[in-house]
Amino acid sequence: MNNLWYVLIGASLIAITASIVGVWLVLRRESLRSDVISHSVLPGIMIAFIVFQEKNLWLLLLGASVSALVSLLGIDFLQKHTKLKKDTLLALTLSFFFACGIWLLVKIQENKNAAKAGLEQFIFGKMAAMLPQDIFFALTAFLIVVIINFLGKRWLFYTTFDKNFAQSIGCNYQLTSILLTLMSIVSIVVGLQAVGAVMMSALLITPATLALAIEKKNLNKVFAWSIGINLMVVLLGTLLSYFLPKTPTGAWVVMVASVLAFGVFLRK
Amino acid sequence: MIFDMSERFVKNIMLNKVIEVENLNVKYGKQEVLKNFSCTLPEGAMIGIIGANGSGKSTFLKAIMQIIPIESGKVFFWGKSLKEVRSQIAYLPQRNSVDWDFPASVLDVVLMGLYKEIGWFGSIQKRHKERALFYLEKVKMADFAKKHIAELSGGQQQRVFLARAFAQEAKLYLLDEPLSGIDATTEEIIMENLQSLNSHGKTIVMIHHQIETIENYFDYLLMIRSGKIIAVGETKYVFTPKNLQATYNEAKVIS
Repeated sequence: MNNLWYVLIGASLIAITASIVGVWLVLRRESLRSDVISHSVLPGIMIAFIVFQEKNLWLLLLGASVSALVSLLGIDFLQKHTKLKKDTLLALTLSFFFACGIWLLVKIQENKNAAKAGLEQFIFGKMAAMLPQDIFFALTAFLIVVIINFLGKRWLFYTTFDKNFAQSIGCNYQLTSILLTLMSIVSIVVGLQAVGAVMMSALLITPATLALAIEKKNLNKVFAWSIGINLMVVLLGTLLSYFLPKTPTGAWVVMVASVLAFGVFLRK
Repeated sequence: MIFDMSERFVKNIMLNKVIEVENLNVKYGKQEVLKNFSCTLPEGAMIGIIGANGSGKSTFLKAIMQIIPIESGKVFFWGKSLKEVRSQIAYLPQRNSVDWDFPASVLDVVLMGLYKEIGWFGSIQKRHKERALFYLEKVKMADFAKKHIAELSGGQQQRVFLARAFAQEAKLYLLDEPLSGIDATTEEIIMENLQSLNSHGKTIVMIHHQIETIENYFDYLLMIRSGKIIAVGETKYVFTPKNLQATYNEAKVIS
């Protein structure tokens, strides 16, 4: 199997994973949360590299997950102990973590360790850099999200649509938030290398927003539209960057998705 | 009619307590919303909760259903904790707590009420859809089953949510302003259904705003002002001009 096939399979898995999570984030009005996660993973990746001095994807992504979790816990903590509004807190946290990540990246680049090459891919993304073993990683993330969504779908539906009713029948709202956070971190972290931290949240949010503009009645159809749009956008973006080698995948994907979104919204 | 009601009181009401609340305290931030709230509500009654806006009526229902945290106090349903009897209680929240943009059809909403039967992980079968349609028919909304919930008028939405509550087949119904912002026909349909449930021994507790209909609708009243109970008891004893004035802090005419 040649490399393009690996890339296309990996990209498809990343797209489907992001589509499912994106729909829930948009429905729960938590879109900005995905932006926070995708930006705050950066210091975790860099610290993991500094500690282990190797570009082992599992270790880097473990660092990314921890970093994202710390940023989200930080937001919850500040929300309880300050009078700042939630959107302000999200924006502050996002920029702080991203700044730390960039600072660490610059410091690592000064280092002589040859393994550092390619770390900047986590910022802008490079789908073509996907290796066969990365498919396994994308598949793991895909399975985690699909299983959580399958098992937790009814809880997520009830708590998102009618929180008070859901709580009255014993649905744990907090638990659904944790599940969604977990799904968000998994889907973002797996897409980082391919699409990049800066643009990852667009992969979750844009197709989901489009899907919700097209289908208003049936949640399953919304998922189907979101997945379809995302697959189309990601595959097109990947092919463009594959055949035009010096162009970033993430940027292609986001540009294709955004043009599509503007087109659909302006026609509506 | 009056005789029937008294007979029902003798048979059911007063014999069994459906809700017992002891020294319930609830705060929103630093503001006390319910203060040392204690009351006992009888089984099988049509119970109205009245009070001005912000008096704590909705908070009371949310607090006893553990939707919001309580500072202190105890709540029992049939002498048991909520956890033990949750499936016997149907709660209808206010319409403004719902996300109307959510991609859900009228049928999807009523199917939520069948959660005990469907289970958290089970799939929706034809028989579940038939049951949901049966409850929609009760509130004369079966023709709208496939519509998006936001396409309906306020009154129609309320009927659908009531159908969801009926689908829960509970023994106790806690309804937060089911009659607010609806037309006369909808009110008639809703009240017919509630009275029918009540005649089958179900307890209905509902927050109500229209003073004129209180005596017709309820045989028991809980009157609240600023998080404190002004009066609780049979309507014929507590629905007095004095209590009404104390509840609303202004003279209300009882016609």
